Amino acid sequence: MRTLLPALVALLLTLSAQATEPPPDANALILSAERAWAAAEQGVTAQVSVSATEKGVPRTLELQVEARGENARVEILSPAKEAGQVLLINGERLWFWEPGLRRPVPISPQRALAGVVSIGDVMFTRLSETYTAGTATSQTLGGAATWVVPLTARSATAPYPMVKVWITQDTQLPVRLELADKGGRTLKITEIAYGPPLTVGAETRPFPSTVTITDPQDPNARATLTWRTPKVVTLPDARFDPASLVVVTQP
Amino acid sequence: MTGSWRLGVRNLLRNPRRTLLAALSVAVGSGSLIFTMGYVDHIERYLETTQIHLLHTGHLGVYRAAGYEQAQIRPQEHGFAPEQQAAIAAVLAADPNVERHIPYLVGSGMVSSGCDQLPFRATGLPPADLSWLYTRDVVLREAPELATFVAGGAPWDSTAEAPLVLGQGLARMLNKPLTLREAPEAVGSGFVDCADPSAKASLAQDAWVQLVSETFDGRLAAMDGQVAAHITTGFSEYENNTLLLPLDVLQRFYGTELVTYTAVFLRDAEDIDAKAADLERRLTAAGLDIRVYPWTHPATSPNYTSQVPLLRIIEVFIVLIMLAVVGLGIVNSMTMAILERRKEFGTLRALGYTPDAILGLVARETTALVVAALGVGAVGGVLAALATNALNVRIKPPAVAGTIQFVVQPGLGTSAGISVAIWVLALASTLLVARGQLRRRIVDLLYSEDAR
Repeated sequence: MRTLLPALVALLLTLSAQATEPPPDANALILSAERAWAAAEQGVTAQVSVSATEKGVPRTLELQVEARGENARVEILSPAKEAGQVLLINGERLWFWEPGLRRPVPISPQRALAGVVSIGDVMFTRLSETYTAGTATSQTLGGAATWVVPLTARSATAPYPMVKVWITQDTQLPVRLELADKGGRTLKITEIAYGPPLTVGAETRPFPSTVTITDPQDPNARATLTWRTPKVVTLPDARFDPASLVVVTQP
Repeated sequence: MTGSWRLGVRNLLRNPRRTLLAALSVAVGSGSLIFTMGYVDHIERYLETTQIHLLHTGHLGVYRAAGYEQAQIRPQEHGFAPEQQAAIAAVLAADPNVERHIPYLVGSGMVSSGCDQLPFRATGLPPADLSWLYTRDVVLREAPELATFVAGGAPWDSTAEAPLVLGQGLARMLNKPLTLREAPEAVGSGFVDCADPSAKASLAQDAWVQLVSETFDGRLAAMDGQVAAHITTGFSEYENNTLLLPLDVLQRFYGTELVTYTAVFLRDAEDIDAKAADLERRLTAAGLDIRVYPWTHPATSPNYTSQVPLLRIIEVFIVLIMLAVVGLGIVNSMTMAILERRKEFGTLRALGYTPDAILGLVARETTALVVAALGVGAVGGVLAALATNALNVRIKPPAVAGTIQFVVQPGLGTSAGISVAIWVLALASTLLVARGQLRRRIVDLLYSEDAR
């Protein structure tokens, strides 16, 4: 009891401090959290390994991701059956193309890519533009103090109608997202770990190293996205133009 | 003609007005019933033919044990692998009552014109089998409008790599009015910017579409297809999502060698439930975990099984009403005819005719009149049916896509049944009234008031 007492006092003091501390502006928090994706604003390339399990069946994908702002181009490198397939996001529009296909096919970002991973999960989303932030609350997550910000989609084109984001209070980076449907039912839980920061000009920017996605409805549905060799590069508009897929189709 | 028959016919001719009225009531009644039943019979045959042949149910459908319910959700686990397909084919090949068996793969996904994108329900079958289905005598006779292509040509003749047949509703919504016949070449190439106002018009100029879906093992896949023809399925439910394509093309698209089910077409499809049970028993004995559905099962034939009972109830009501009207007319005519002849019956009785002999005479008279009138009614009903068919009257029944021709095809069996029913009705009513009169004393009959 003597050993527990100081810990209890410390906890009460912490809770009391948190209770009295006014919550920060949620919109400011989200803008700050977007620094996690900020490197992509300049243009970034990375290889992403996707390892998913659904209904007990493992599945792996190797992707080459090029992203800039709201645009992204994801090419599947392996397995061989899918090699060469391209997913291309230009703003709110998404196309799928595979070698030999005459025209790229418009598809939905919610379409499954591998198990629980949908195409939207490998893209970078500007939360502040796509969602309206609610009131931030404080919560401890895995021993770290975080702000929890509920987000509501501004339009029906958002990948998920409702999102809840956990943002660490020290680094101001998002570490957990709960993605929910209109009724608030959680569809996916995304947990983000960060690797070495990227150098963008004179600054350094955080960049995710591992993203783990789980489905609370299905304990066996789990996927891990590992981001490797990220590089800040200059990506021209043409890389995100669906017409660029035609060049591949019609040499 | 024996003396009694001759006497009966002479009696009929003796009072032409009475005979004509009685004959008219029988002829009009029987003709109307034959016409009505001709329409109902045709609709039933139309629905049956459509369900079995053009909605690809077959007389029997062989599925994995839980395959019908699960094949769409877990196609990988609930289809037939090549060795199972071979085992099923071997059992069916040994059955002399099996005319043909067709393997089918069913799947879903999205079809895109380049801008518009819609869900589809794909049915894959070998092109030779599609040709067989669309050129069967029964199909051409009972549902000729559904066995023709609304646009394009026979897909089984196409040399395209992936010739598709689209439901005409799907083709319209995709804005793909042209088929390979009118537009064999693709217009432009590759990506079309749908923000451009002319994009949709440009995409409508060729017959190319793209299909996208998940493969059976969970990958995302897409393929080009060329629209070879448009069809009408006959049902609103399927008009906007039907897509037919060769089995091997659909298997390649979904990355599988599985088929979802085998449709079995029988030479003799009577007592279909017993035949389904028998085939299920034989396939199970061959070590296959299967279930056989007769084409009348609500799961595989929801349209037929929901529409036909309703149709039959309506049919029963209409027939009962018509029979009541016709029956009352006949009973009234015959009763009046008998009452008018009470003095004649008294005279015959006075001359030594027994009541049974007079009843025999009346029965012959009635039969002669009814048979002649039924002949006229049948000819009238058939002529009315032919005239109606020639007029090409269009109707739009509920749940039917577009309009269908109001076709009346009187059947021999139904017409014979109606004729016998009317003859029995007329004979019974006549004999009943005559027997009542013949129980009276001869003197009462001779001095009875003449109804004429």
